[in-house]
Amino acid sequence: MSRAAENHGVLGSFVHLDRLIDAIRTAQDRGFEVQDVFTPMPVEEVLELVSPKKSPVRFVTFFGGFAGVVGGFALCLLTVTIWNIIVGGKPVTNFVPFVVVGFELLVLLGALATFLAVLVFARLPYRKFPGPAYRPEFSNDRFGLWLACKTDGCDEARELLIEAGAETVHRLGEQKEVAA
Amino acid sequence: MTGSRTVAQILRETGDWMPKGLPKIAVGLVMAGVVGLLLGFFAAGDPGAGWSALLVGTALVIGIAMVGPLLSAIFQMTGSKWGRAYRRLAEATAALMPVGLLGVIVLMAGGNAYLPWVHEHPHLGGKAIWLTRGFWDARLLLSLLAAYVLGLAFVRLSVRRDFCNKAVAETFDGPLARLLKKGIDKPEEEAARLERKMTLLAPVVAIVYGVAFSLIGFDLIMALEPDWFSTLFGAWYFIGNLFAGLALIAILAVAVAKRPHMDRFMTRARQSDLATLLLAFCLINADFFWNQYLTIWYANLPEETFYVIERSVDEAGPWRSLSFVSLATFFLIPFLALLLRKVKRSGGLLTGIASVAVLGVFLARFIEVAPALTESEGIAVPVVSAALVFVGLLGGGLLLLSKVMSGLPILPVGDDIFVREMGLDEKEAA
Repeated sequence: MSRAAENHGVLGSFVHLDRLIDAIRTAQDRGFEVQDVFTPMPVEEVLELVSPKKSPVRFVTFFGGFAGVVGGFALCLLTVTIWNIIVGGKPVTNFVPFVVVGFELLVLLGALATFLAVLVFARLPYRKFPGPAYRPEFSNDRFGLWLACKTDGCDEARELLIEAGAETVHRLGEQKEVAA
Repeated sequence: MTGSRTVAQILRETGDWMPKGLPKIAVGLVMAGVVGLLLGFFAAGDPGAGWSALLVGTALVIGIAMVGPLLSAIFQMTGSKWGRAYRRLAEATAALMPVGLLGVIVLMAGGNAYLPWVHEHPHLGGKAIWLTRGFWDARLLLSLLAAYVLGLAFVRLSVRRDFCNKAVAETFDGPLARLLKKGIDKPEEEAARLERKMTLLAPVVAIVYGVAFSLIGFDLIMALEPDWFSTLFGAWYFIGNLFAGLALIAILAVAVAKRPHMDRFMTRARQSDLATLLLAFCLINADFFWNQYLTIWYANLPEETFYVIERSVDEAGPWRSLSFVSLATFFLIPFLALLLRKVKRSGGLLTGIASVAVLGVFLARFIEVAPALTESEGIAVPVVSAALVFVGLLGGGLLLLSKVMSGLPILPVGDDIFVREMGLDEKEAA
């Protein structure tokens, strides 16, 4: 998102989720950039429409978990090699008890890596929250669709939102409200 | 989202939900089961193989029969939304109960032929009081009946709630439907009353399932090696049942989702959620296995290790390789496969992996039972016989399921959360 585009565009408020999803599809078909979508609850269809790419977080999780397993086994192996003490008549290096340490570190490093990756890729904490397009009703009973537009395309974007069934349409950057 | 549809519309559209040829497939499976039983008792030259096959199949089927009612009770307790479309399909696994109960009765009747502690056993010690025929029979039967009565009572409340809807009451009018809708004079009040009862009964179903099936695990399987004991065995047994049962529900759900209009409710996203739950049970099943194995390994007590050595270490014995196949099929393969989104969202791949998981749990039960009962050198006949008996018992359950469910709605249209999630017409649904 370019800095210039951050505060510009057209924002539609929808009562029905079906209408919102149709509006996103139509906007994408006509070449508009969907700047952001606000929903009061997680909606998978919306996520798939606006973020079709697979999240890079999973790779970070995988490498965190992998590092945990390798680190856990290495920790056990190096420890028993240095402190070469036979306990309970069992071999010093043995796969069975190492699994526990390897598994625990897999979970720990996998979870920490995921947490950090979410912060980095979601650019959190987001200092400008809630941002210019957010409305309190988007956390209650309305859905918001923010379309980016240049000056000459904003009228078309506004018409698109009204045709799609938006309850209200706001022109961002000008604070102009148009009743649908 | 489906828009504002009515229950009557949904009942019309999903009326043809049953996968084609299901009753015929079920009859085929029953026939295979009969062949398996004959194979076990007569082809191996060792009746222990027959008892082993019947015991493995029955131990699995009695547990799987409770998985659906338990899953439905878990939905009730957690208020979860994702799996409501699978609720009735899961509850339908209760159709396995009569088959399982029949298996248990046959096992009780023939107990003297295979239970090693019935005749004098030198090492019973304190277990001599616990392992006596009358007490064993009573425990087994009462545990099973307690779990089944509660499970069936819960399913009855859930299905009866659907009949509080006018469209359901008008569409279904078979003997079971008439029994279920009997006495519903004020549908709205009755639906609210049933909801309250289900909320109260759900935790009881879950607790009784855990206790009853722990006891059944101890008595039906662990008692076959009276010198051996593991306090975790009961939990390992009932978690395995949950894992296998959920895998079978996933297989059935994939088949049902292909029927007309069903994919609107059993969507790819919901299928993926079901597969994620399967992954969770794969992990917890492996966790229980490892906890039990690790404790025995650490303590290294001869009265505990002989059980593991015979089954997984002794290279001269026939069981070792099968133990590793079991570990791969109940954990490694499903775990790695179910991490992949592609597997979770593909009906064919999920069916394949769920089948592998069922095979893994079956082999785990077989490895626990067969070495204690069979004396034959080869393992081919006992394992094939046990597999056939298991699918035969499943076939019997499927046959009952197809009969019972043809007179009931396949979607829980009386469930408020399902109604809201699917965007049904709430006024009409009430």
